[in-house]
Amino acid sequence: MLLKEVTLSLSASSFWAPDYICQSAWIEHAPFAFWLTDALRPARFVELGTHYGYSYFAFCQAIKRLDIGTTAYAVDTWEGDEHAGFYDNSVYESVLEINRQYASFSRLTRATFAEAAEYFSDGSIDLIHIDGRHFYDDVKQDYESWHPKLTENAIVLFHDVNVRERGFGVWKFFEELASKHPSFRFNHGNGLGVLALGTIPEGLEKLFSATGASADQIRGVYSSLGGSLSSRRQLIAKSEAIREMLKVAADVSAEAAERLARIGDWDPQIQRIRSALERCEATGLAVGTTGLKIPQERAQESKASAAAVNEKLAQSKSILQTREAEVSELRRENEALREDLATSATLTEVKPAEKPVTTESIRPLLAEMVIQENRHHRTLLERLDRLTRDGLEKDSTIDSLRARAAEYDAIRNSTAWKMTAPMRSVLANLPALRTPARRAMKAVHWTATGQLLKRLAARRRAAESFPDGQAGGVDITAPPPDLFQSHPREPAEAARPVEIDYSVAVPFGFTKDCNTGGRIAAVVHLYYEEFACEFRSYLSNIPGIVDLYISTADDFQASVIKKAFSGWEKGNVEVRVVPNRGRDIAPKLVSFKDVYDKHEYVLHLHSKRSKHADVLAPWRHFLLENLLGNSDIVSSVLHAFKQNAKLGIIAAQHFEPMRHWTNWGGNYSGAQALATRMGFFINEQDPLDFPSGSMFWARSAALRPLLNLHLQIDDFDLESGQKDATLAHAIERLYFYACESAGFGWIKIARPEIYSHTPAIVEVTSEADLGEFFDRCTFRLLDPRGVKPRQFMPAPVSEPSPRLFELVQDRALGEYITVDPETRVAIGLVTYNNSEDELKLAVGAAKVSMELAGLSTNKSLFLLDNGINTEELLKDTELFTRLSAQGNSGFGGGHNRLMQAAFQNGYEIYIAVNPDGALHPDAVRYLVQMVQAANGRALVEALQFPSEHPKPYDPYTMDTPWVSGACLAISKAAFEDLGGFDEGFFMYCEDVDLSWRARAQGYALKTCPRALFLHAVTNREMSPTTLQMIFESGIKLARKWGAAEFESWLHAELAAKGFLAPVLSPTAIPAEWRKFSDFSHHFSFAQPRW
Amino acid sequence: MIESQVDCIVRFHNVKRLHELSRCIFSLVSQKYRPLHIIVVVQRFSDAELLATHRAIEPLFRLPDAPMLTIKNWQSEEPIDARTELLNMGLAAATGQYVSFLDYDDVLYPEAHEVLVNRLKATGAGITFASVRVVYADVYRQFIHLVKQVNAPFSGKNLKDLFRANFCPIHSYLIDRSIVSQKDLSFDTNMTWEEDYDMLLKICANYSSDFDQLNVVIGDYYYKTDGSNSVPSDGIPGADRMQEYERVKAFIEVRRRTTLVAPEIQKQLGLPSLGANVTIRDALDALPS
Repeated sequence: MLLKEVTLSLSASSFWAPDYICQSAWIEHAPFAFWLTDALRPARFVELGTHYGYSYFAFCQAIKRLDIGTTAYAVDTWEGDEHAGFYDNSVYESVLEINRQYASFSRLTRATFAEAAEYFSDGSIDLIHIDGRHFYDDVKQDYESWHPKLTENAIVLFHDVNVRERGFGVWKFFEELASKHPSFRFNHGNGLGVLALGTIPEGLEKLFSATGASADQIRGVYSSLGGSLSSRRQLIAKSEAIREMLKVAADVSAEAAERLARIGDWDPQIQRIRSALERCEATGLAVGTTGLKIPQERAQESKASAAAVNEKLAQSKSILQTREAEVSELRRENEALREDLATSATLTEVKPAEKPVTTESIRPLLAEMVIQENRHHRTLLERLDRLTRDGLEKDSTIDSLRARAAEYDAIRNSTAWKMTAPMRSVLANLPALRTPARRAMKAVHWTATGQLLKRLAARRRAAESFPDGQAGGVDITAPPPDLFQSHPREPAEAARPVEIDYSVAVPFGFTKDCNTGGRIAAVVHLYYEEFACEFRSYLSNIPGIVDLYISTADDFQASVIKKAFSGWEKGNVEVRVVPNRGRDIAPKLVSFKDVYDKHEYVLHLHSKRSKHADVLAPWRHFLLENLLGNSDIVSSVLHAFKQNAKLGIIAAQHFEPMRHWTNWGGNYSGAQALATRMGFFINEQDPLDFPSGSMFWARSAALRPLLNLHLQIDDFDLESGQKDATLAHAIERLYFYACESAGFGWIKIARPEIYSHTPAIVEVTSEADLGEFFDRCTFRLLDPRGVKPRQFMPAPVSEPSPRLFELVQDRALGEYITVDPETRVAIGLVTYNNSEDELKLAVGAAKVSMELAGLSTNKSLFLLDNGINTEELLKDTELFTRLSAQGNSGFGGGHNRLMQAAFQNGYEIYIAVNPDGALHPDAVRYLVQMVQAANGRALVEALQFPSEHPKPYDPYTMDTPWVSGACLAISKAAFEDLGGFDEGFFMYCEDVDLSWRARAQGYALKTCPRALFLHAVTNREMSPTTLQMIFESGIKLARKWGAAEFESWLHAELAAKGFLAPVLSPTAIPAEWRKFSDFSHHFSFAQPRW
Repeated sequence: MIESQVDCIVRFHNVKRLHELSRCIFSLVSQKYRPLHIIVVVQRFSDAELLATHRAIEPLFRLPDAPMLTIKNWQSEEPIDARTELLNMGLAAATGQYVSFLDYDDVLYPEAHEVLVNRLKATGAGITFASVRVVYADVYRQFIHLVKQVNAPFSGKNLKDLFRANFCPIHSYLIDRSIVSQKDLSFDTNMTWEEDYDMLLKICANYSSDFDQLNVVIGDYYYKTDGSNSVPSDGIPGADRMQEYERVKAFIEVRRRTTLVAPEIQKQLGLPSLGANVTIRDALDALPS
């Protein structure tokens, strides 16, 4: 059992693996370096003598990982010496390159030690590692010359304290120092001396006080940990050699390939492979020589070549033989390493049978690694075996095999694999321990390696991701899944290889005829009503008539949605409240079942809440951009339906970050039962494909098998945050099957610019191309013709294409909109005793901005004086429409009058502008673009400049929790629906009130970050009267929106300043509107950015 | 020299960043102080790039009481990085009593020049300093998105601190050219980093400096997450810049050891009279740490 002082000289960091391994006599000391850095947390670290940098970068790795703010300096001439040998500049260059990742805190100082010492002030270094020339006099000089630079309680490391040959004198000097200072000495790895100059820093006491058994144990543990690194270094070297050999094998000469091919002629296994390949070619998936540019076509053609087949078979044979040899070698190495580890374990165990090698936590950790890697090992062997059985049907097989081989190398070379051989043996004999051990160990391992939070998040994401690709019928911030939930097996790969998973690029590269003659319905489930404006914007891209059938969860949401779609001129709008059951699937197939008889085509959409920290957050936008990103895309979709009467469903090619989740999950049995009811059979061994995210275009007839199931809402599972294995999840996987069952085909479309890692996107530039795509690039799930699911999961894609974000930004900003000069835009100013300079700047800037937008300025500046008359100051009668002053009607009251007048005069957009600010010349254009991009269904504020308000806005959708009235664009519809500002607010908070009311009535709130509005609020003193006015408005807002706590706080603030609280009784808003208010951040009314 | 006029020299390197330049110039046009002359200095811009630059900012000069604008283009092939030469070119084009500097991706608040000029007038100092805030920003194609701000990011409160290390970004001060001689008001072209600090050492060793407004924030210093700052977003340069930094650090130290501190400045520092041959380093050594 480990002694307590030993465990206190260990931590999770002791078990880290170095990122950088190179030839170094220091290699075995990295675990101690990690621990020491963790325990000491030095402010400044200096290494004298860095050479290749192994030791230095071990410290840097720990500094970076611990994020402890240490500055590190490597001092070396990088020219070598008698001991290390002399070398050229390449060593320095390589060290410089590696240092880039640590450049935020690490500097390489290319100088002699004496020169470099000048750069450091006295008493400034907490940790120094002296590893320069090793003669006695040299190390003494190094120590003495740097001693003044060290802090009082610095730690000094000396390498090579256990080398006595070749004139090394470090041992002698260290012994001298050790007689005067607390010290500890490791003997492995040429020896490492640790010296404490003054008071031993906290956390290191046990190291320096260790003697006898405890010192031996500390040495034993670190020697063992270091020894594994030496083994790793050796194995890396071996692996590199093997890779080189494999490379040679892959480049086997034609002659050798010929010979191997002949072997293949009589080898039954190879014969099976060859037959499978020929079957694959016979399926017709391989595309012939035509004018259609289909990705992978060349590869398919070359595969047809007998010579190429022979060559690939030869390569495969060669690789398999190599693998077999490696497996044998691996077994031998494992045995040897097991013995090594057992030996090293005895160094650290008093009673080996009783307790583990290191700490209580290490045993579970090691056992977990064993299980994981054993399983992975087995999987790899099984995959290799499958490879030989199933044959090399696709080009990717060879590459995949090589990738597996590399992975195999990595496992075999891993420290954990070596270290855990004894544990594997134990657990192999005690299977009952595996599951509990695995659960406990995962927690320990993740905690020890600092992965716990990340892993939890990843699990949550995984759970939320594919299975919940359906509509948010539940807010999936629901409780995370059981951390240690047992997963009996990984879902099998079910999709086809990405290389033959074809999609057609949209928009088509030719003139489209979208006049299908059939009526279109968009069936939309909006569980999150706040996306209504966004969906309206996308749906506007559908040319011609489209009726909207929208479902949601309650009456209030329905009212918001109805308002958001008011004035929809392209067809009917019907909003239904449905039970929160069956996610988006039940509403579409059950609640709106009647829709399909009336419409030839349907578009299935649904809301899905975005969380920008989540890689899947942009999924909604991805699908919307693919399916109806612009009218040209929609025209292409409709054209395809028109050209091919047997086309039933058009879906988007998979979202790249989730495509590796394309599998049955826990839904096969449920799907099988449904399939049986629909009259067809599904085979789990055949490829699966489905419209992931469950948004797609369809011919109504293609969904008939699903509709004819006559499902009822009650058939669907009660909502409880399920991640998988519900009726809805099963149906999602059956859309394409049902389509085929109804006698139709399906295709996937892709907007190429938003795919970065997806092959097989086929451009079509003519009708003929499209026809050819239908003929040769489509796939039938019910008749796979020998095509099998991919054998390996494609490399996960960590984030969507950056272009997707740009498209979302462009859409929100209205980047594609050219402002029509006929657009009638008014600018409104309510003045109140402003200075002449202020007014002239505000008016002049507004005029320039209008002109630059190409808009008429004739009478377009609506002006009302709440204070002194400005007619003498602002005399441009052609510019102004003046309203007669009626005293001070307040900010909101003044703008209401101006808006009323402007809209009555035919203006479409009104921009409220504070008279103490100035519009940037481009501001009006940008504001108008954004209002028009939202079809007038958004209030759009300009960005206050140069000091922004700290409330947040989404940099992609530009959504913001509330909009400021300082510079605010409002459409006529918005004014009419909302009634303008609440005139009960004399000044302040009326814009917040308007914003929340707007959200409750189906309007979006946007910040236009391109439209700058100079608002000189910096270094501005706030008078007590102003403060009183703000607080009084706050109280009114609180009363109106039912925020008692906020109101109490304001009462206290007013009282503290000697003011009486106002007597106000504003009409309270409906209770359900309160969800749009936020009083939890005082007057920020939203979580501020800073 | 035009009395009371402020010349503000704006360095601009990348024509793809016009929307950032436009923000910067908008902040200058919005200055409450007049007269103002904005000198935009660019490096080897083509005619098309010059035209684009002019078009991007010209509308700002249609605003009432707009300042004057001059655009100067460094056309020589050498040096490759002419950032210091650009500043000197801007200084050569200056015609006013006061001069300030601003990088194209930073901004000043409307009252900035007013605050600084008032201090110079009130104190008779050759240079006066205020403070700037650091804001962190993500850069997108059409706009920048602020994610964080840090008030009072730079430590330092007086001349002694400035002699020790630079805590005054280039847009945090204003210089009176009627007091500071042309000889001292120039940037050393040997430097492409800390050239402003080097000049501050020369000026502040010879002329009275005022730090009274360090509690007043007059502008924003943008740290951009796309790495387009001369100062990286994490505040720490890459390895290659580290090498350069070592050289610059040595150069600055040479400046400290060779620049004499005028007797009246020694007095400002609170030193006993040490004589005429006191360098900045001597002064620092004589001051309590």
